[in-house]
Amino acid sequence: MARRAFVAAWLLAVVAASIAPARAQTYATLHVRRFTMSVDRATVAIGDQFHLTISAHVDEKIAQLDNLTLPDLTGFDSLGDERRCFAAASGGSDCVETVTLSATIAGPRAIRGATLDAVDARNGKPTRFTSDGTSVYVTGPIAIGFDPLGGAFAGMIFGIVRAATIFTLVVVAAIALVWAFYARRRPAPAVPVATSYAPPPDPYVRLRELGAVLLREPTRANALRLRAAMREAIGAREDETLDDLVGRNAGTTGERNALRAVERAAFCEDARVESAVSEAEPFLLR
Amino acid sequence: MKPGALLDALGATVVGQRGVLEALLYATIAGGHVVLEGPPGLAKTLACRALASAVGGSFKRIQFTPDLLPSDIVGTRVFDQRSGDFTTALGPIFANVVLADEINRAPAKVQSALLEGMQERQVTIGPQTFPLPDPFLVTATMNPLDSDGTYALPLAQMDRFLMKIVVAYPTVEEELSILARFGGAPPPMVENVASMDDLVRWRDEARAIFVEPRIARYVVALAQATRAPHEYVERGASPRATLALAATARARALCAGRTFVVPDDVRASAPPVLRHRVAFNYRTLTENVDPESVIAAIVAGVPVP
Repeated sequence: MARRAFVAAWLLAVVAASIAPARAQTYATLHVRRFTMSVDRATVAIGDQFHLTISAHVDEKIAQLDNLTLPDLTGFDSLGDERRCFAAASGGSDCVETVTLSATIAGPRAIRGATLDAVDARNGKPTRFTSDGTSVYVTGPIAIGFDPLGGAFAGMIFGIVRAATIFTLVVVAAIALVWAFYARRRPAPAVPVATSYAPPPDPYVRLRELGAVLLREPTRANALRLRAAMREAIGAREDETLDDLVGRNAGTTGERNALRAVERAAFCEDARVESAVSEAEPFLLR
Repeated sequence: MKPGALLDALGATVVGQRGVLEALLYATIAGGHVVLEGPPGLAKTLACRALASAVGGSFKRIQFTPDLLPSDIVGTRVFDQRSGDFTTALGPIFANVVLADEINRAPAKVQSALLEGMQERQVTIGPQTFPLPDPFLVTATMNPLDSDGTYALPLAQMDRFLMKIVVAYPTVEEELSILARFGGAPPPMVENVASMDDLVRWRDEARAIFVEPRIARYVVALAQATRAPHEYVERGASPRATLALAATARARALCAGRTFVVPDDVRASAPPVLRHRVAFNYRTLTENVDPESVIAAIVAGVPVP
């Protein structure tokens, strides 16, 4: 019995190893500069629609983002999604996938990061990029509260689920150990997909730098540069105006106020740029 | 007096329909004219009358019918038996705010009599030429439902209107407010909250509103986008649309209390300025495509500066 399980695991590993390099060759070579995920509402009720937005910025001009895998959305109904890429003003492409979701289970829900498989242009290696995760608090009746048989039945169900989960974890861990043991003994094949995490650069560091530059040199060019960076950080699409961002509550109130102030400096008359930057200063310092 | 305050004052007479009131004010400031398209009973006439009353201007309404004559609009020469000479009776076009109700019910000759006045800001009757009042705003209405026996305005004539507003039904709250506020009595008219001089001053101020070169490029890009090959578009907007879009964006910026245009001014002005200037092909009819959605997609396809 144990021997059979070992052989099955070995066969599985061989098949995985033979398929993976072929898949790796189909990956696009990309400079992934940003890969983020966000939701437009932090709290939703059961049945309410909300949007999960996954956005990426790459240096290459691409028409679509291949090999993007959505996170596990158990507990949500997917009502549709829209995926599009467009040329970014700063060069490269911005790709946005917006998934419309409806929550079905109450309680705090963590959504793990989406993944993007691509050949990292920086080192030429197949890489799995992972976005940051996010969470949603779903309000509404918790399903177990409706148990007509009361807490005893719910407790029994909870016990069974817990036992099943522990059992599954033990089995998965055992298979992983066997596979790891075998993989170490045979010549290592080319790693098809290296799971490396490219932590997205902290946008606020760049914003603070650009803000400082603007306050030091209050010019339209610097205001435009900061505005572009703020729009990127807030998750603005190329076709979205400030009113759109305010309408969908993108970013925080402080970020939107700061963006409004910087936009004034970016588009006002030449003679007023300096005073507009001064007026924007309190918003930037926040 | 600020334009925003005038808008708020008009809101006391006209419940909801903020888009119509804004369009009327923007067009007056930009020196243009407006087409209002919507079913009867949506306060289109009331909005025009309220604007004229609020600025102390004159208001005339002309009901367009198939038997209307050009002289019914611009006026005519009448023989005076006592003096033995011809005198000129000026038509209803000589008003600050003229409502051309159901403009598409009159034949082309009558329509062009009005449109000529709109363009030239003067009317020639017999040997004499008469300047039209300043400010001068023509609001034409069209009912999208009863199209039997109508004469559709050609694109070249529609192009003379600064904006086309699609008037929507009020929301439940707005309709309840209408019921509570008016209840059968004639709606109260605000009078002289601004003056004709204010309107002229705002027009001059709007011309001085600053348009940053990136914003100007955005305006042009929007007009150009309507001319790009599109599965539902036969012909795009003219350069007159580009001018109209910039003028409307300036008027919007002024009403918002700014001395410069921001991308939102342009984006918000684009659908009403472009929708009647784009010729859609037969596929919009055969495939039951809403032209509004086509315009929205074209506008959304142009990156914001």
